[in-house]
Formats: sequence, C-alpha cells, structure tokens
Amino acid sequence: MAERLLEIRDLHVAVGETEIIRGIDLTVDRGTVHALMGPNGSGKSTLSLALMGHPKYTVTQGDILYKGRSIKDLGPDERSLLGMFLGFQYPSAIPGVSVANFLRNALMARHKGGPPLTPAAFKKLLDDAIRRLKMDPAVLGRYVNDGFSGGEKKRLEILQALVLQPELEILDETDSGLDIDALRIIAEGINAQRGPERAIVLITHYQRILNYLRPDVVHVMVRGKIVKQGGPELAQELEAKGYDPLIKELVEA
Amino acid sequence: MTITSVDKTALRADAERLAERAPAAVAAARREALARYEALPFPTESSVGWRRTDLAGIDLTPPPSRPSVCRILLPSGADRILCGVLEDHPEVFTRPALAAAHTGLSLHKFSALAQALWQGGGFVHVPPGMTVADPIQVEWEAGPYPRLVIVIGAGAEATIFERHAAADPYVAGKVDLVLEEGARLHYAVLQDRPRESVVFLHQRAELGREAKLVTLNFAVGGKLARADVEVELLGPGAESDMLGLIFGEDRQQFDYHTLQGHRAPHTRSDLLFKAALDDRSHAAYTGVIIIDRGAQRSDAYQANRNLLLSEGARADTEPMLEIEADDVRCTHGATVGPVDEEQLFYVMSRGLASDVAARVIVDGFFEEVLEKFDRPSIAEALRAKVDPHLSRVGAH
Repeated sequence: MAERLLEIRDLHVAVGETEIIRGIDLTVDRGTVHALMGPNGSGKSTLSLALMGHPKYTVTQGDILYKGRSIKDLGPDERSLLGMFLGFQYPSAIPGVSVANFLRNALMARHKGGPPLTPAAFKKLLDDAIRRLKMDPAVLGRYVNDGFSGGEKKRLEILQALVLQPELEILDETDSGLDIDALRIIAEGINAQRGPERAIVLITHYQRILNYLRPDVVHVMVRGKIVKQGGPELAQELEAKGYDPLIKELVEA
Repeated sequence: MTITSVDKTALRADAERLAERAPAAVAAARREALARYEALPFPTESSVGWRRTDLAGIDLTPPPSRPSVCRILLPSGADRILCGVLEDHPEVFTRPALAAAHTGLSLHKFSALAQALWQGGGFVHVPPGMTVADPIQVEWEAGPYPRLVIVIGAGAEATIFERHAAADPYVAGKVDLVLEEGARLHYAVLQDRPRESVVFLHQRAELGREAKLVTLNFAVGGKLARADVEVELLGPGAESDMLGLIFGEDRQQFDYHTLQGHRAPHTRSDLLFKAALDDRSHAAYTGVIIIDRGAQRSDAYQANRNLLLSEGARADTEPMLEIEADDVRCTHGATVGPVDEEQLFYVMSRGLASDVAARVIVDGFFEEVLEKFDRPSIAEALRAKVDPHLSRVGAH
C-alpha cells in the first residue's frame, strides 16, 4: 500500500470568530493526484492556506498529520522544509528580490548543514525549469511577482515547485486566468512532477485543467465540508451539470 | 531642548572676519547668509519645518567656525577636472546659482549659518563635454560646516559619491549642484556620522536645459539627521530622479524635506524616498512639489515608503503640492506600516524562517532603490552599510 502523506482529521478552521472549514476528513497518499473542486466561497483556498500554516487561519478543532506527524502547530517555513508546497492563488510581490535570489535563499534553507548547491548545479536547475515552462530566462533577474501578469505569476509558482521538488504539492487555482496555451504548458509542468514519490492536490473551479491532468480522486467541497468524492468522472459530471444539483441535494437532505 | 550659551556675538564676529577677507562675491553671500541666520528664530517644536522633530535632549548650539576638510579622489584619466578647496575658487560664487544665500523652503536657520561660517570646503568642476565614467569621491574628514560646490559643464557627464563619516558632534553642511545645459550627473551621498551627532545637510541643485540629475541620499547616522534636498528644474526638458534611503535604529530621528521645483516646461521629476525604522527611531518626511504656471507639460512623481520594523518605530509623511500650470501630470503616494504579513507568509512558505524572511523583504526594500541608482560600485559600498543593520531585522 502507498504511504499516507497527508491525513486531515475532522478539521475546523476559523478566521477570527468565523468558522470557514467545518469538519473535513481527507487523506492523500504518495503517488496520487487529487482534485479539490467546489463553488466560490466553499473554503478551498482557506483549506490550502491553513494546510500551509497561514497565521490568520486558526485550527479550532481536529488535526493535520503529515507523514504521520501533527503539523498544526508548525510554522509555514517548517512545513515547507518537511516537503510541503503551496502554489498560491494570489502570490505576493517581493520588490527588490530577484527570482534567482529568492530561489537561492529557499534552496539554502533546505541545504542547512548539508552540502551546498554549486553555482553550476543551481544554474542548471533553474535553466531546466525555465525551459520546461517555456519562460523567458530574463525572469530570473526580475523581482518576484513584481509587475508580473496573472499568467506569469502562475508560471512562477510552478517554476518554484520544479526547483524546490516538494513531496506534497498543493496548487490553489493555478489554472485560473490562463489562456489555453499557457494552461497546457502549466499542466505539462505539473504532469512532469507526477511520480511515485509525490502527491499533488489541485484546487480548481473548472474541469478544464483536468483534461490534461487526470486526477485519481475528485473531492467536492461546499460550505466548508467535503460533500462528495469520486473518480475523474465526477469532475465531468460537475462540468456538465454545475454545482447547483449538488447544493440542492444538500439543502434537501 | 537645551540651548547652552549661544554666543551670537562670537558667531557674528566669525562670519564678519570671514567676509572681510573674502572676494566680493563670496563676501556678499556670507553676509546675506548671516543676515538670514539672524533674522530666523531659533527653532522650537512649534516652528514651521520643525514640528515633527523632537528636540528634547538635542543640543542645537552651533560651534564656532573651523575649516572643513575633504579629500577629493579623481578616477584615473580624469585630470582635466578642476577640483580642490572651495575657498580657492571664489569665481564660482558669481554664478547665479550661488550668488544668493538659500535657506530652503522651510527657512533652514542652520543652513544659513553654514553658508556664513564655512571655511575650506570642496569644489569640483567637470568641464563642458567631458565624460567621466568612474565615480569622483568626496570624503569629509573634519569640520562643522562642510560646503561643497559641484559644477557639471554643458554636455558633461559624471558620477560623484560624497561621504560623511567624521565624528563632529554638530554638522551643518550645504551642497550646491549646478548642471549646465545637457549635463548629466549621478550624485550619491552617504551620511554615516556617529549616533551622537546632530547633522543638517542642505542640498540644492539647479538644472539647465535638458540636464539630467539622479541623486541618492542614503542616511544611517546621527542622533538627529535633517536633510533638505532641493531640485530646481530651471531649463526646459530638465529631468531629475531623486532617491532616498534611511535605516533608523535606537532613538535616531530623521527629518527629510524635499523639493521638486518645476520652473520650466517639459520638466520631469521622479522621487522615491524609503525609510526602514527599527527600535524607537522616527522618520518625518515632507515632500513639496511646485509646478510654476509656465512649466506646462511637466511630469512629477513622488513616493515615500516607510517600513516599521518594531512597535516603537514611527514615521510621518506629508506631501505638499503647489500646482499652478494646468497641463501637467503630478502624482504622489505614501505608505507607513510594518512588513506586510502576506509577503512574510509567502516567503516563509518557501522554507525561510521568519527572521530570515523579514531580512529578505527588507533587503529587497533597499535593493530596489540601490538598483534604480544604477551605479553598482556605489551600491556595493552602500549595501555594506546596510548589512550590519539588516542582520538585526526579525531578531525581535
């Protein structure tokens, strides 16, 4: 049996006094790809930010286990060093910090105590990722997300994943706001990372990206809960019928 | 505030003695400056231009006149540059830019005194048409009233790096930058005086037609450091980029006044002043943009960004716009606040501990300005001044 990478148990998350995640159970095994779908405001982004340890989101009940260990009291940096990665829906701009410098810092944090990455190896790692995502190499000298278009920001998130090689990759609406060519390139970038060592959780509104990235499991989130799980066919069903029948079903139940 | 024995008679006698032995143009400028000094009230916390300064425990008593000594280092191959002790070049005071005493918009009493009491001083004249790639360095070694005059001849191009690091307890300096038609100057000043010093620096630039000036005011020193940075765009098509960086610690106070004076049509100014403030340090910024009636099609931009690195740090910012022309573009913006939480989370989510992440963000805050100045060797020297401060960021 595949190793359990992430296990979310009865998770409740609040922002201030408002509970947004209202009891979620979810397990993600190594080597699998999950799609987390749901209408706007269902709490998908909140879940992703809470998983990464955003200080504004408080776990009020339940637990998050990563490789069997509770991480709910760890900072975002510690979670990252354990192998987690969040591709942000709205990545922050860091003026004055070049992409290359930012990634060098992130890699240095990982190589603490270990052998440092040689400049040549660092350059190769970056060059390969740039080529795979068909990005302009000049991006390495630009300030992180500063003045980037929506599409450029999404590519930079995937570039970071390619360089940092996380084990659990949570991608929050990495497909939104992309034209069809950019979507394909980004989906290829994500596909390239599929493998037995890694798990990917893709948060999305749309079925569109799932045509390129066949998920193993599809979860549907409504109002802070996972209300339905299934295979890839569930995503197609949602695409055809929308979320309304599901919501209606819930209200009636 | 403590005023210990301001001996008006002695200061006046100093100024008179200096005026008497000076050539006519210099003497006139000294006497006018002295008259201005005497006419202006001694500042209190309710004086115009001083309201944001906490004068408690600050001794503003001006010292007697003494020569100010600077070392001027020319890059190799730049022998045709005229430079030396300002007192040896009185002819420059016949230029309109220097004929009158200037006390700045905020009627800077101590700048007036500096213009009356300076001795020695520094002078650099880059002749018309000459291009000097490497920086000309001006380093102040001692003296309370540093006075520097820089003239860039028509079509000439140069870079000047001025450093203030000497340990005088009280410093009132005046710098004049004169750019003739089509002249280009990159001018950086590093104020790295000891934490006990009171430092007043008044910098005034006059730009002729299509001249281009890029300035960087970088300050980490002083107990009270006030700078008045004024650019007068006198010729059509003149352009000025004005950059500023401050790093404050302990109880340091920085009081910055800038002027973007658009006096001719088609002039452009772009100002970016940033302060990162730790401990209980305080920065006050007042930014004036004036666009005269005749300065149509001018473009002015002003931004002041303040990063508060501790709960005790404080920043005030105030833009003042006087626009008399109707066909112009003028925009300004200011921010005051701690390191952005979303930025911090984003950087930490890539594996950087909170203190390291804060340092990366603050480093970028400075780096953006250093890169805009576009003189790597000077940026390198200034970066070395920030690094010891940066290493403390995020530690509390």
